[in-house]
Parts: sequence; C-alpha cells; structure tokens
Amino acid sequence: MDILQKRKCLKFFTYIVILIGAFLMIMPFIWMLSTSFKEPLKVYEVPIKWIPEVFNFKNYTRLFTDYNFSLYMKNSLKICLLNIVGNILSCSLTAYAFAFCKHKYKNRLFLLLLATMMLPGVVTFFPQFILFNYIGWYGTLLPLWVPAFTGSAFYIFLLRQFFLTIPTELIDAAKMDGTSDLKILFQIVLPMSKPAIVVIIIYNFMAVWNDFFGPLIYIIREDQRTVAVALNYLKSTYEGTSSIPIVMAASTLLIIPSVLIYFFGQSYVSKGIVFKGVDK
Amino acid sequence: MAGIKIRNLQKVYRDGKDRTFEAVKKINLDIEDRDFVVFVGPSGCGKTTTLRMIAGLEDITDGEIYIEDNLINHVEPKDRNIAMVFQNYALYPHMSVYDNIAFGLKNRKVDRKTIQQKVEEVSTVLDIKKELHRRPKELSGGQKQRVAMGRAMVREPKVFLMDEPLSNLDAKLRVQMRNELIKLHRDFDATFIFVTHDQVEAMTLANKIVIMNEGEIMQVDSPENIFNKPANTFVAGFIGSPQMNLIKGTFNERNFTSDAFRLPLENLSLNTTLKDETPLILGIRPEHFEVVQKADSTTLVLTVHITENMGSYQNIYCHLNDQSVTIQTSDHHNFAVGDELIVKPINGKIHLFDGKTEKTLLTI
Repeated sequence: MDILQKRKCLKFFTYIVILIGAFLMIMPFIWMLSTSFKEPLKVYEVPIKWIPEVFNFKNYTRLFTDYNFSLYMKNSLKICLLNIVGNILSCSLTAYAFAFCKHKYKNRLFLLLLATMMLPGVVTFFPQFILFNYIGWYGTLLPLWVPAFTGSAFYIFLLRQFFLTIPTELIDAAKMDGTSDLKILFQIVLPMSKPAIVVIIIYNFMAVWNDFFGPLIYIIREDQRTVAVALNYLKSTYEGTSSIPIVMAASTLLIIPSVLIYFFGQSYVSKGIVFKGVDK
Repeated sequence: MAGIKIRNLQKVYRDGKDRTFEAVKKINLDIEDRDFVVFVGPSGCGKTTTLRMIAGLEDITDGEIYIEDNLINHVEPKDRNIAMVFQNYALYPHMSVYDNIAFGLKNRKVDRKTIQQKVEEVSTVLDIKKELHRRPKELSGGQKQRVAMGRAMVREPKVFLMDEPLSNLDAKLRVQMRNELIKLHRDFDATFIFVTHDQVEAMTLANKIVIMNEGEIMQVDSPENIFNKPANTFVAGFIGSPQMNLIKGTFNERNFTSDAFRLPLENLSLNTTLKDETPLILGIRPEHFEVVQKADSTTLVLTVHITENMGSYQNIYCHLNDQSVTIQTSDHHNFAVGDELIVKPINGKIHLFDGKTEKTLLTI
C-alpha cells in the first residue's frame, strides 16, 4: 500500500468515525422532532417510525392556545434582549478601558477581573439571592437582566482580546480627528468588532434562553415564566406518555431560536475580519 | 504663523519594575512656519516618539512644546490644529472613502454642505474623486495613501505630521508620492513634519533635516549642509549611500597619518588647533576617490573584495588593512577578488573628525 492509498484509507475511516459521532449526536433531536408530530399512543412504537404517518400539528397549536406559550417566549426574548444589550454595553466599555486607556494598575485590575472567572456560580449565588431579596427584586424579572449591565468577566476578556487586534493607529487617528473615547468605542471600535459582538450575542442568547436555574429561583408568578421554566411545568403537569409529544413540541420550539441564531451567527463569524484599512 | 518650538523635550518610559528607558533626551529644536522638516534616523532613535509628543498622542515627561508661541503640553490633540498621516494609513475600514475624509469635520460639527464641498475639493486635488464611494479595502496602496492625506488636508491644519507615510509603497509609487508631497507643501500654507528612516526621502523632501540617534539630535541643517558638512561621524555615516568611509589615524606634522597612507591637511579650514598625535577620523565619501595608476605616500592601496555593477556606476568594496573602504566610480573596471586598486582622495572633498568626540574639526 503506497502513501497515497494509506492517506485515502485514513481519511475514509476518519469520516466514518465522524459520521457515527454526528449520527449519535443528532439522533435524539430527530426523535424529538419526529415525536412532536405524533399522537401520544404512537410514541413508543417499535420499530421507531422516524417519519410519522400523519403529521399532528395540534401539539404545537395547543402550546399557544392551552398553555400561553407565546407569553413565555416573549418573556424569554425580553430577558435575552436586555441581557445582550446590557452585556455589550457594559463589557465593551470595560474592555475598551482595558485595551486602550493608560492606567498604572490596568494589568493588575485585569488579572483581578480574570480571577473572578474562577469563582463557581454557587459561591456567589446565595449572597446574590440575599441581596436581591433585600432590595425587593425577588419575584420580579430584574435579577435576570440587571446584572448584565454590570458586565461579565468572560465577555470583557473576549472583547478586550479582540480590541487589542485593532491597530492603535486607528484610535490615534480618531483622536486626531477630534473623537472622544466614547465615540471612538461606538463609531470605530465596535463596528470593527462585529465578529466578537456576534460571538457574545450567540453565547449570551444561548445561556439566557436555556437558563433554567435563575428564572426558577427568582420568578413566582405564572405570567413571568420563561420558556425553559414553562417547559418544566408542562412536563410535570402531565406525567406519563400522554404529555411526551407536547413536551417534545415545546422542546423543539425552545431550541429553534438557539439553532437559528447559532446557524446565522456562525456563518458570520467564520467570515472573520480583515483590516483592509490598515496595511500590516 | 505655525512655527514650532521644542524646549528640553524628554520622554522616559517606565515599566512596572522601576526600569526606565529615555527615548528622547532633552532635545531643543526650532521649526519655522511653512518649513518641511524631516526627522531621520535609525529605528529606535526617538523620531516617532518626538512626532507623537508634538501630536499629543504621547505624554511629555519633561520639557515644553510651543506651537505659534502657545504652550501645548496639555492641549488635547484635536485642539492643536494639527493633522497626522500614519505609516499604515489608519483608514477606518468600515467607512467609505468619503466618510473617512469627512469624519474629522463631522466631529467638529461642520455643516453637511461645507463638508461635501471640502471633501470634493480635496478629492479633486488628490485625484480620488472616483473612489469616494469605495471602501479602503477596495483601494490600492497609493490610493489609500491619498485618502490618508485627504483626511489630513480637509481639516486645513497649520501643521501636518507624517509618520513614515511612504514606507508601505513600492519604489515607483514612492517617487511619485514624494513629488506630490513636495507639490502639496508648495500649495498649502502649512508646516510639514515628516518622519522617515529613508535618507533619500529626507534629502529630497526636506528644507530642514533633523538627524536623530539614541534620543538625541545629531544635526539640524539643510540637506546640502547635512551631506556636505556633517557635524559628526554619525551624520557622516548615516547620510549617503554607500556610506562615507571613516578611516582612523592621527595628526602628525600637518598630515593625517594612518598605517597605510599619509594625507596632507594643508587646505582645510579647521575649527581648532591640532597637536601632533591627536587621534583623528578621516571621512571620504565613496564617490570622492579617483583611481590612479601609480602608488605614492598619499594614495591608498586597496584589495578588492566585492564589486557591484549599478548600471551607470560601480561600487567597489575593498579592504585597507583591517578596515573596509568603499569606492564608487563611473568608470567601469573589471576587478577580480584580491586585485589591487590604487586610489587617491579628491582634493577638497575630505572630512575630518575628532577621534575621541567624533565631532567635525572642519568649520561648518
């Protein structure tokens, strides 16, 4: 066997392994999608019918007519949007300072910020809960989005690293053009950082949209529920086979925005960025 | 009048571990209104740092900078009435050429009609009118350079600062842009300060050259004087290509004496009286030798090492004992490695420097 044949063989087996992996990953999603269109009695049919004989859209329509799903989706979207806006605003301001402003203790402060990433969420959870309860935010949506306006260490780190790739001459040129730091951030730096912003939008959306713990702890009223919490209530309302298709329909609806945002965002990010205004 | 005065200007960089680096060492300089001043020197000599301090992009450690007799140490860059062109153009990639040029005016709240009129004027002068709607990535290097110039020109500043603006262009375009810069300087009522490490740019553009080395100014003078009357061995070696030959020797009985030859110093106008055995450095430009057939005490007998045919002239790299000597001649010789070459310095074309201070001993 010559080297070319060996390479072809290796490539073939690599693809086989990848395909098996991909199939194992996607199978539960296909089952979820297929089940969401089935009648409750057809859920456990053997052999599994991946494509239902009759597509039952009732499971989807019932989510909106019987279970107020549009309101839950609206709540989730509202919290997602506020989180994204809050994080982009606060993190970009902080990252700009860490990337471009001169300060004696800048690097030490940045290390301190990075150190906060090492703290597990459960460590800060209780003090945070006590604080929010003390200021009367328990039972409101505020704890789910206001913290985003105070920044996130990971997003600040991500943006700061991206900002550092922007040539400082552009910042200097903007200063010579009479631009303030705030204007430089919003008119020069952020438009040039679209890939980093898109990454933050994707990460933040997925994290908030799928967040179950936060809304479960802080939300009391039914009309404040997010999709993730509503799905859990839906599951516990109907235990047994009868609830499975409708839960699968809700699950499908839950993942569609994440899939869409990731799909479009990923294609944008993969384009990368080329600074054609600056010759390096 | 946009004259610039620099007094005891110093820049010291400090790291977190109390280590310091003095990039600019208490320099003094006077730049007249409408001067075309070129800062030239090797990498790390402090020329860009000085320019950035004039621009206000770098904090001043000590000293003063005055523009039009106003102290500007603590004046914001935007309020100094200066514009800067950067080495890599620094065009905003997400904006069109029009928006790039208009950006500074928009920030100064100039009305839209005036902005449009000024951008059109500048784009006509720079021949980029057809590119106004394009993005920087769609432009060639020369066009980007013009846009960068346009962005500076549209603000009608009193002082233009240029940080190696031609170094990213190819040789042909560089010559073209050099000529355009000369024309712009002629047409604009402004002072130009240009930073480069390219001596050709310095010699062709400037009416005043500032040569810097290790944070200090070595010489400030016209291109002619810099070339013909270098103040020290650094300037002598830095300007001119191939660089000036610097041969070590001593002063003995009104002669420059080295191991290999003796040169009478009778017709030189010296700024000091020399004693015998004073260490000297003799400077002779490669083109200031004549090839002779017969050796005597005043000729140099060289051993040919490498020859370079440059078309209209020839560079011959030779050895004189342990020292390297370069000869430039318009007559083409067919020398082989190891051949003997006898040359004589042309009368009145030699430079003499103090062997210790390396400063010129000739009257400037």
